[in-house]
Amino acid sequence: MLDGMSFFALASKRLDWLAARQKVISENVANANTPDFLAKDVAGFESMLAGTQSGMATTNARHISTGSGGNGGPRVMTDVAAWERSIDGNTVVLEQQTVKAAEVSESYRLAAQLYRKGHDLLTLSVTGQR
Amino acid sequence: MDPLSSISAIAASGMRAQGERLKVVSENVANADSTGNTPGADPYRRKTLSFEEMVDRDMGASMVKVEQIGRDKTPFTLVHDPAHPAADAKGMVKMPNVNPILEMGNMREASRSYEANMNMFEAGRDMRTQMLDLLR
Repeated sequence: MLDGMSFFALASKRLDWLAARQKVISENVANANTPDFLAKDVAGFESMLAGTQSGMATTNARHISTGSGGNGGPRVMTDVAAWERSIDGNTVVLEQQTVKAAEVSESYRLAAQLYRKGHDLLTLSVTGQR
Repeated sequence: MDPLSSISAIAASGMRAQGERLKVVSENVANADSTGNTPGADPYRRKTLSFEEMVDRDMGASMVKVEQIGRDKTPFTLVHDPAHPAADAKGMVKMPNVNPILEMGNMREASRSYEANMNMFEAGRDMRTQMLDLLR
């Protein structure tokens, strides 16, 4: 359980990914009335697991961040599945963002509780008591 | 800065911008009948405001800010009222170019967007609480 891609590492990655996604959603909501703003979303969790995408690393203070704080965060990209584009060129639909935010919150709760369960299990096997 | 902390900053920027917008709307509504007081004088001109994306490099977050507060250039409506102090030679008074229906729509949208930002703030706080609960 503690070797390789352990349960805890997986849960942490999941929590990181969900936090990054929630941040992108809050950016969308903040810019819900900004003309020409395109809604964004992060790449799927699978691609973060595969380690294929990690944004460009910012190794120098003058590098421009790719939007995810640089080092190894999930890649942020324009949301192609936006429901509609308003007359001022904005593609943020508050309803869609609300659905996503609720989804992320629930998944975060799930991941956090699984993490806790894993910890309880470990405690149980080591001490023999809950 | 970690994503969970920046959520509150981003939501706060959204709420601030929408609050600013609501302020402009209330100024417009309050001055919907503010005419000039000398013959032919211009009345209150409707204020407009526009938003702009503001990227915070340190935080790696895109926030929102009020880009500028401008003035609506649409013409004033003329009302015939010779007894009014602002009436011109023909007895016409210029009224402000404020459209109450438009302001009402603007007001509704601003308060809905404000609520949406507030919800994001709470969602972020909730996630942070759960993270802290893991430490107990």
